[in-house]
Order: sequence, then structure tokens, then C-alpha cells
Amino acid sequence: MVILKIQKHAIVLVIQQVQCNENKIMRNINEVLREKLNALKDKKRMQELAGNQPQKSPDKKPQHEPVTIPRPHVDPNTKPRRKHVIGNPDVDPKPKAEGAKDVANKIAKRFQDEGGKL
Amino acid sequence: MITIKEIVITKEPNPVSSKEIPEELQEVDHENIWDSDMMKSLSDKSKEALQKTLGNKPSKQIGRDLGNILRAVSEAESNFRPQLENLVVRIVSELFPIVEDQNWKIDVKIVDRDSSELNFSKDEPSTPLPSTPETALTRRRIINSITQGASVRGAYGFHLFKDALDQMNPDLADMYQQTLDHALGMYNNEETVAYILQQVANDKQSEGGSSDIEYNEEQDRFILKARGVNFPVLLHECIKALYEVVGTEGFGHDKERNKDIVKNVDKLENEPRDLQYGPMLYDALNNLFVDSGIDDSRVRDIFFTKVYKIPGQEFVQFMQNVYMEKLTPQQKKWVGETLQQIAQDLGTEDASTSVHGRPDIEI
Repeated sequence: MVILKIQKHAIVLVIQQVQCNENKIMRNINEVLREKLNALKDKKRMQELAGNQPQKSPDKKPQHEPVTIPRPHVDPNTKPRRKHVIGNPDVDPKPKAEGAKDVANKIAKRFQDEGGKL
Repeated sequence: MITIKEIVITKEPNPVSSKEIPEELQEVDHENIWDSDMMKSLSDKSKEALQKTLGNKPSKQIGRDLGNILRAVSEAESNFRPQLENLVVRIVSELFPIVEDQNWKIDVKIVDRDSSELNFSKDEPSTPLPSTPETALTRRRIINSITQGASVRGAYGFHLFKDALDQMNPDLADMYQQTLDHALGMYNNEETVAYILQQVANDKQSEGGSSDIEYNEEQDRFILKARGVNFPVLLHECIKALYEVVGTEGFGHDKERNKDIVKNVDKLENEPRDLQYGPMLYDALNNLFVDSGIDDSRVRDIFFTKVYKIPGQEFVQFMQNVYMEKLTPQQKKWVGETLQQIAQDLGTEDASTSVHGRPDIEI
């Protein structure tokens, strides 16, 4: 009988020990899970924060050397033809003020003939 | 023409037989172009202009004062001729951007009164064609008047460049004002014009400046040429050359016909009356542009070419209505639409030209 009681007590102790160990393990597992969860939350928060920032363009090296588009050639003596081009080359007006002396007397005489006095 | 040389008033006028008065003097004159109301208005405005510039000064006094002013100007300018010639180019280029727009070249020079360079000479036109319609002659006479008027008004533009003149001589601007008031204002007094031209005939003075235009085929552009005995006259003549090019738009493309018109209308004896009435005609036409609110003066100058192309007698009627401020609703509509269209075209062309003439672009 005594032996049976001792065995029974030993079994109880073993079970308690096992339970104790299980609790430790579970506690450890929970701690690990909590840490991982927190880490995941931190990561998500960081991603959300990053989403509000302008994205950085990836560093790329130019695929070709800069190209210069030259200005169109413009002859300094000419300009593009305009819609409203002024001047008729088919006419050659007489210079103004040519031969004043030849006609001045005629004008003076006209004035006198019209009754004017000089 | 400006007759502004030294005037000697002691000599009697040369007797000239009335037979020497060419019959053409009676042709296409303003009195024959405009109706009596318009002629009266032109005459009244001419008298007002005379009062503003010369008051009641007698003809001989005007002649004496003009001679004295010219001597003073000549002395004051003696050390600055190249600078003043450059200033004329600058003034005309800045006041009239149409010069750059059309790529016209300016050739100006201040010359001595006895210099052979003072006058441009050209071969006489060919035998006139008897069939030239009178409306073509009338058109040319009106356009000549507007050309003279534009050059009278424009010559006073030197005031906008007074700072440059003051650096040479602070008295120049005032002397130039006096010069123009006398040399141009006198055309509002027929007696003064006749008197001073008589002195020209007596060889006591000669004209003070001249202008001409030349089309350079190689460069495909016009050259504005002007000669004058001093700065204000040179400026006046240069602006006259500018509007001479504008005025060629009133011709067609029949070269012989054009020569005939020039021979019959571009006469020196017509110039005094054109200088007298031209400023008023120019003002009336310019007011259409001013009233439009458009501030690009190139539009005005191109608009003039459109007006000059109005066909036949309709052109004369249009000009009379413009001057008398009696444009018909249809004419008003045409004026408004034409001005706006020109402004729009220039805006488009300017945008195109700015790309065409842009600097190198690196990408």
C-alpha cells in the first residue's frame, strides 16, 4: 500500500513538473509570438508612413549622352517670310524733294496768280 | 520736301511767265478730290495748326527765324553727326517696329547744304500712258499726303529720346522743336510757302532733305534712304521713306502703269499741299488704329496697306468718311475685323518666329 501511495505521489510530481515545463514553453512561445507580432506592426506602420512620402526614383544612369538640338539656321540677312509683307517692288516712286529749284518758282507764281502777294 | 536753308529776303522774286505753270498743277489736287465740307475742315485745321506752331508771325519773320535756327543747329551738331545719324536709326527702329518686322534696312546721313548727296536722282520715267485712270492718280495723291503727314507727326518723336540728345547738348531738343515748328509749320501758311520757295528758286536756299526707297533684289528687302542737313530733318525724311514703302501697296503690278502714275503725281510742286493737309489725313486714319485699343504699331502700318488697296473710287469715299468721322456700319465692321485679323496674324507669326529663332536646346 505504501509503495502504491509513493508511486502515485511520484506520478503526481512528474505530472506537475511536466505541466510546469509546458507552461514555461507556452509562455516562451507566447512571448516569441508577441514579439513577432509587434515587429510586424512596426513594419506595417513604417510602410504606411513611407507611403506618404514621394517615391524616390531609382538611380539610373543615362542610357545615352545628352543630345543638343541646334537652333535652326537663320540667315542674318533674311527672316522667315511673313504673311503681311509690305512693299511693292514693281513700283519705283520718285524721290521726294528732287529738283526743288526747278519748280519753286512755279509754286510761287501760282500763289501770285491766285491773288497772293509776296 | 522741307525748304530750310539760309534765307535772303532782299531780292525780288524771279518773274515767271504763267505759261510755265504746268497744267498738271490743276490735276488731282485736294480741292478736286474732297467735297467742300471736308476741304473747309482741312483748311480750318491747318489754320489751327499754324496758330499753335507759329502764331501770327509774318512770312518774312518766319523765314528769318528759320534761317537763324538752322545756323544755330548746324553749329551745335557739328561734333555729333555720327551719333545723331545713329540716333535716327535707333528712333525709327524703336518707334516703328515694322522696320525690324519687315527686315528693312535704314541708310541715313547728315550732309552739308551744298552737298550733291542731298538729293537722290533717278532716271525720268518712260512715256506716260494716256489710259491711266484718274482714280489711280487720285489714290496716289492721297497716299502721298498720308506719307507726308506720317513723317510730320513722327519727326516730333525725338522728344522720347531727349536724354540721348541732352548728353550731347542740352539745348538740342529745344532747337529741334523750333526747327520743326518753323520748317513744317510754315506749310500751313500758303504765303510763307510761296515766299520761301521763291527764295529756293532764287538760289538763296535749297531743300533741307530728301528721301528715297530702294528694293534690293538680292537681299529681297527695301532700303529706306534719307539725307538731311540736320538731325530733325533727317528723322523726318527717314520716316517719310518708311511710309513711302507702305505707300507702294497702293500700286498694282503693271510697271509701266506705275511709272505713269509716279510721273503724273509724284511732283515736288504737290508736296507743299500734301504737307499741309497730310497730317490731318494721317491723324484720321491713325485714330482708327488708336481707337481699336491694339498697342502694336505694326498693326497700324499693315492696316494702312489694306486701306490703300481699297479699289477705285471706294478708296476716296472711305478716306473722306474716315476724316469726317462718318464711316458706314459696313466700313466700321471692315475696319474692326481687319485690325483684329492683322493683330491675330502677327501674334501667331511672332510665336512661330520665337521658336524659329530660339537658342540651342540641350536634352
